[in-house]
Amino acid sequence: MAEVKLKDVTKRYGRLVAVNNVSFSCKDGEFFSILGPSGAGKTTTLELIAGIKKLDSGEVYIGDRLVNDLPPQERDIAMAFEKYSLYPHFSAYENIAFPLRAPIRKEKLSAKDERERVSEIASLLGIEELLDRKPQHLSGGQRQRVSLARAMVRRPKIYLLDEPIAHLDAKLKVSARTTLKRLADKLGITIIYVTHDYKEALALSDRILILREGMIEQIGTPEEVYLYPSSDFVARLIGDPPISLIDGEVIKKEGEVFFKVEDEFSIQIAEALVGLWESVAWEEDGRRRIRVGIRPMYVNVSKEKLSGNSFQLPVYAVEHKADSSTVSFELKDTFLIARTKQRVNWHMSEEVWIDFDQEHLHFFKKTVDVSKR
Amino acid sequence: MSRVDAKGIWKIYEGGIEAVKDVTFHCENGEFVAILGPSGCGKSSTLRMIAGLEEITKGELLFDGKLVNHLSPRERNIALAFETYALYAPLTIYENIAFPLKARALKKSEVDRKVKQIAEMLDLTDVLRRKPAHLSGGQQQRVSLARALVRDPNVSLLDEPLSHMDQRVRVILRARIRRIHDELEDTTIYVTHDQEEAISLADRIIVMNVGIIQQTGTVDDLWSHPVNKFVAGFLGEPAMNFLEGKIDKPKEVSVAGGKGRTTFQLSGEVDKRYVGSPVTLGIRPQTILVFSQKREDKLIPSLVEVIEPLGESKILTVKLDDTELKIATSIEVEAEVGKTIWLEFRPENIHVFDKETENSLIKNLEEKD
Repeated sequence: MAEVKLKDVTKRYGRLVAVNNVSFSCKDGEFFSILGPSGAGKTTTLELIAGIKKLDSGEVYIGDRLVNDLPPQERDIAMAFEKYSLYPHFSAYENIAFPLRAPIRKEKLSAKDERERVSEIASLLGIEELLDRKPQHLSGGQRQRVSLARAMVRRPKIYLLDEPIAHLDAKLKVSARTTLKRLADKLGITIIYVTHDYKEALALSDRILILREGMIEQIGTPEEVYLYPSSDFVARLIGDPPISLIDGEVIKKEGEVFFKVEDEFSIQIAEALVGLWESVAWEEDGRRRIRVGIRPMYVNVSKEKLSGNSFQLPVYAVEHKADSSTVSFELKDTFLIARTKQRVNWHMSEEVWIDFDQEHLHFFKKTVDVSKR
Repeated sequence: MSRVDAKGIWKIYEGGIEAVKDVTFHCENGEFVAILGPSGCGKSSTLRMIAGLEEITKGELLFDGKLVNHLSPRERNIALAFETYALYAPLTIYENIAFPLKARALKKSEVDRKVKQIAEMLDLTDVLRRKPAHLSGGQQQRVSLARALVRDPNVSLLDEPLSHMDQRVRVILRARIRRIHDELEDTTIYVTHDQEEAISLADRIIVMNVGIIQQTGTVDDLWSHPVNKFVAGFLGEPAMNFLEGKIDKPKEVSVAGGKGRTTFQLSGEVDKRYVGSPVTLGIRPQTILVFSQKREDKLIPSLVEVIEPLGESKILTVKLDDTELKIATSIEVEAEVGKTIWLEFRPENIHVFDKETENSLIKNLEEKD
């Protein structure tokens, strides 16, 4: 177990800066996720820590040791990838035991000790019954767990996991996620975990680093990145259905502040929130504009008028969950999305009243394109 | 727009493999029906038989009451969109979408109107002059969808049309598909393995497994009254929890847990002959109520093992004796790993299944023999 620290790390591929001046430190025993869309530099960051790729500038520390010049096998790390490559002619047991038998290892384990180590990790991952089977007789989910067991059997200082459960189907993913969280809690190990799936990041992590085009956008606990996203990019990355991001004009009238979106609607913004939006507002064609973010569960919708501050829009489409509905409204360049608490059976083009929970409004600078395309 | 009736349809492949067994269902005129099931359940074979791409081994398929078993796909006037979209590479997007209209004697202006209308609905207006190679995967899939829907078909058949798209695009396209259906009012049959997609889009859902229809119904029917353990476990994420239980009285079931056994009341009755028998009890993670203190005797203690926050909700994994349960609850509910929380199962949320047949055992009071 150990701390991992990156200081001003940069990696270029030709003219592309894949990782751009990234600094963070992951504490001993921490579950630390790197979240971002594809191409954000997540895997490259992991490969730099592992030593598989060479960095162009900056420093990587594992524990107190600068490891820039150490080859991967001397960094005492384990890696598991999305694509598990198991040896097809070996049993699950032999696949898992393989790293223990590698000649590079200094300690040699007795057959008995080896068996104990393999059974321990296999039982944590719920695959003890499968140890005698060959990979072709295992399901996709079982293979993934064998691959994870192989990565974890060595007890290295650091585990680097790159989308290890990404391609499992939805049901298996939910159970694999729980298994992984339990395992991390039990072993108290340091894990750096790469994913593009915000649910995995929120569910598993102590802290999450959000990468955007090679740069750090935010680092925080799951609660912080969900409740206090530092930008529209972070807000948009986390949550399903996604947060609505709506651009509009701020108008001050007789001491009151209004947020006006084209000819679609206009609402009054609570006095207390003025400080929040003033810092992010921008000028456009002589008007002050802001981007408002609101999560679907805080958009209240009803057939009846909700408050003096509510407005009407025609329904674009209604989708259902078992116990709620998602109602979308078409604005000029984007959609406004509401999540109801019960299922509703509204038809398209039906006019409904909308009201925002003001305390859940976010204000952002405009940094991502949210147009319908 | 057509009504579709499938009556006792079978698909038996060479070697006697029975892919679809005695399937009977109907789609009302203008209805949106999803066929949902795991891979290999026979849902795609069923769709291909409706399309006419696959011969019906046995049974009758009717469109508006007329037998269509022997009609070619073209004669059936159906729209098809599949998971794998094959666009004509040398043609522009406009020409690709207009292609199915060629065979008809339509005026040029009429073709133009239809193509532009569907392109607008699927947000393809800006790319009509491009070639497929210059479009993203998601855009290509939308073109394929547009091409399927451009001629007012009797029936639209969609086979996992969104399966290769990333989650974000999928959510937006789902709304579009539903919107187009509402606008065209076409009869739509939608095949998917994704329960969330089926729930979000369909008026009614047909759940299939091993070639057999397990249950047909609205989301409410399937969610609240699954006929067997398969349907109960297939819909919902996290999936329904199953526990070992025993019927004590026709309206009472008990499980090991807490100190000794905990008894639950049921919302309906179980046949008397099950009294004393072991059964499987089912409860959805979304319906378990959680308390941080023991407020009433009926609450069951359980040990919190894992907490997974997901924004506004969180998933708890708890141990009730040796059984692991999942609970989906609001982020505000307090829980700590290693601590005890108290659970309540409401009678209307408890399902009981036969251990062998896996059929639901609770008779609804309104149901008759």
